Amino acid sequence: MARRRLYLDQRDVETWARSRDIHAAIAALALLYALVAATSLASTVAGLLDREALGVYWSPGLFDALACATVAGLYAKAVLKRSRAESVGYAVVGVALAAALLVSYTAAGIAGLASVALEAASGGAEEDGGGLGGALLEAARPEVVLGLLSLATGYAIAKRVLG
Amino acid sequence: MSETSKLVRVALAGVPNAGKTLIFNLITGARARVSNWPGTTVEKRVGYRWHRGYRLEVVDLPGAYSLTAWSPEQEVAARFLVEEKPDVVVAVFDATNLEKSVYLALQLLEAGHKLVVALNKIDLAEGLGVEVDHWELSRLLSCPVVPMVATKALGLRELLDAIIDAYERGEKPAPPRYSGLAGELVEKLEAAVKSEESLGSLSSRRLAVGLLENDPYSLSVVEKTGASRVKRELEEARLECGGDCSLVVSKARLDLASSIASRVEKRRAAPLRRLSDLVDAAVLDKHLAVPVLLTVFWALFVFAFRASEPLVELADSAVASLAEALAEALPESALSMLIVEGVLPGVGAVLALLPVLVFFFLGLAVVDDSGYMARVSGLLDPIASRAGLSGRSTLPLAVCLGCNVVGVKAARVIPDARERLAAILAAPFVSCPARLPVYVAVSFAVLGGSLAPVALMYLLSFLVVLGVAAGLRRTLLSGGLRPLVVELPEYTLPAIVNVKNFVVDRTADFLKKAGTLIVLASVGVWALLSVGVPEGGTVESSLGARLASVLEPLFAPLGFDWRLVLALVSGFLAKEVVVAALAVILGVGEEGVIEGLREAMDPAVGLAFMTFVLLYTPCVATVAAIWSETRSVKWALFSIALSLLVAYSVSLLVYAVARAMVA
Repeated sequence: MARRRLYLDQRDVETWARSRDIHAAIAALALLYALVAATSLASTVAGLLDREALGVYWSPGLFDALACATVAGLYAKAVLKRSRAESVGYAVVGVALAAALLVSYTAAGIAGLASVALEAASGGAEEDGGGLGGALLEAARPEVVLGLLSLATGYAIAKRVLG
Repeated sequence: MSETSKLVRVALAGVPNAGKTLIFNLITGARARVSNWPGTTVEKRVGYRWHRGYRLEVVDLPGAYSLTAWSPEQEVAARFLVEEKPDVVVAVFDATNLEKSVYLALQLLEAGHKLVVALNKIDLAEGLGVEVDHWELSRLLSCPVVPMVATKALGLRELLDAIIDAYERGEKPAPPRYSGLAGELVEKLEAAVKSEESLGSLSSRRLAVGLLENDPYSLSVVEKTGASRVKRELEEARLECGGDCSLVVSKARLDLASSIASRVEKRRAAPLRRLSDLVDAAVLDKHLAVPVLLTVFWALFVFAFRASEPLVELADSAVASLAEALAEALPESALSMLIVEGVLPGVGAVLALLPVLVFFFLGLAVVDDSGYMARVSGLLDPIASRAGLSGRSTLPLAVCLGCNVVGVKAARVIPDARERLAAILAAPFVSCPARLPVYVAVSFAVLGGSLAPVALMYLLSFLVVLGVAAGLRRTLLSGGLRPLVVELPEYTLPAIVNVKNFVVDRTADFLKKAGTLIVLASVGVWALLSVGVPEGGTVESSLGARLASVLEPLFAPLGFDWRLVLALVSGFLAKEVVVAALAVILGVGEEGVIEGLREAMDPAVGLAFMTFVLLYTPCVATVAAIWSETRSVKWALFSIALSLLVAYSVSLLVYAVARAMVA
């Protein structure tokens, strides 16, 4: 399959710079990602203080916090950068990373649904009490919701900037 | 015309990342690894194709900016072109990087090759607002020029026709003429070379230019033949240049290349901005570059683990059911015991974890083909340079993420011999996918199925690579650093065919190992555990247990019992074998290897075990590659000793810290 290559011309960059609504959406996303990062970090610290077993040190996720903070940082720079061209670059990378995280966590959700289907097939789902609802909840993690918001913003950027 | 007279030997040459391997694959139908970053090809490859009644023997040479043999992969290209004398050389041009491509083509013309230019990436150039006048380029270089878009196979037939036409015409294009001092020096020395009969078989122009540029190969040829007039002329030329003529000649060639490039490039008034450049501003941001790198790899792990979860469970239960069914169906005999207790648990345990690897390969292929991996070397350059490695070394070390053997071979792109050796010795500490099944099994068994310990293993691997390299570069292999100059490819949407080939090839390699090495190792471990067991005795009295028990006291400080020790010993063959061996040793049958591991280790031992598997000798094939690349048994043995020492020390530290944390 042929590769698709992407270019912007100067007018597109100008258009992007005038899109205040997109800037506002990205600023909101930066705040949301920062919030999720802070929550994940707080939970991790709480886990560290718990010291029940070594397993808790990994949950709910220092790396989740880092990933969300990185996306928040990219969005923040996209809004704050004075250079219009650099601003587009930061936003695009932010959206791409958010999309990658979304795909990964959605894979977790799909895996959860598949596990439920497997358990249902073997008649064990009801006993565990998780079921389809639990799997859907798993799929609807905050990162996934944020990822969807990012994709919506990404679509808006693509529409305005790439034409 | 006989079959042999129809053979046309064609060499593909070009600057790194011009698309040579893609064109090689297109011509020959091969599936050589295509990568979106420079240095993928470090050895020459050969493939064949019939066209217009001729059999084309096509050789894909490593990418090189120059034919001066400064690094091993450039030497491969230079030596082949000089010694093998191909019938036609195809110079693959990168239309977005015309000047460097023209520079190399001028060297090929100096060497007297019949040249055909494949002007690749014209779509990219047009996207940047650059149109290349290929007719004018053809006139200036005196050779045919075929515009191409190799990713879409556009221009392939025209290229094949041009190769055959060039071969049939038989005439060689005129070598380029340089103006000023360089031109005079080349002509004088060429006359001297022509007068020496012993040098008659070589291109006089190429040899003259090579000598002026201090090309090691050209100098060695003259040294061997003892051509006295040539040596005298060379000394005189050096006096005229003030000691060194290489700058005079390369500047003249560069001026000519720039002049040709500027005459054939037509730029539009308002050039388009490459999204790649804008994205690079963010990806290589001094504050965010490392967090972005960690996030990319974290997303990759999350994807590989979570997407494969149900498939792992399904495969695990399928293997357990098969073992149960076979145990009931087969009559009781030594063969049935071998299959049910030896082969099936070993191979089954590894195959059950195959989905994780497949999804990991998928994610890695997407990251690689997008163009991001090439940036990794650039952004790691400042960190690696503190450890005494240039950014050039990070390219092969990044390749090690896919396979240590390939990474060790890729170290040929490092020009400095001492730095290359340091990179080769550090390469086995990069975590290749063969270790992944062990991490997954241990994580699921005793670390709550968490991904973070797996990600931490990769971080630890990175730190150890830097530590080992720094240690070597400050002691045994000290030396200076050359600055990193690397062409960054454009970001692209990954091509499905490349991603598919990457995943299929890697998975096929793994399955081949499962069908051969892992079966043999499983049978071997089973045999060791069956020999010496008295009637009604337990596996603890077997030969394998007794042998492993000899080493057990050595590993007691790490918390490893004889079972883990035996698995590690079998892992010398290949790391994939460790999980298979554990399944056989733990005799876990229906419960699966993860249940067995829960009984054999606690979280602290699990972490120490993962660390040891990460850091000790990766496999026999890697040791063989180190031997072949260093041409020294001493360094291969040193690599084994170093990895064992590092693995033991770091695992001991990890175990002590983990014990303190859970105490």
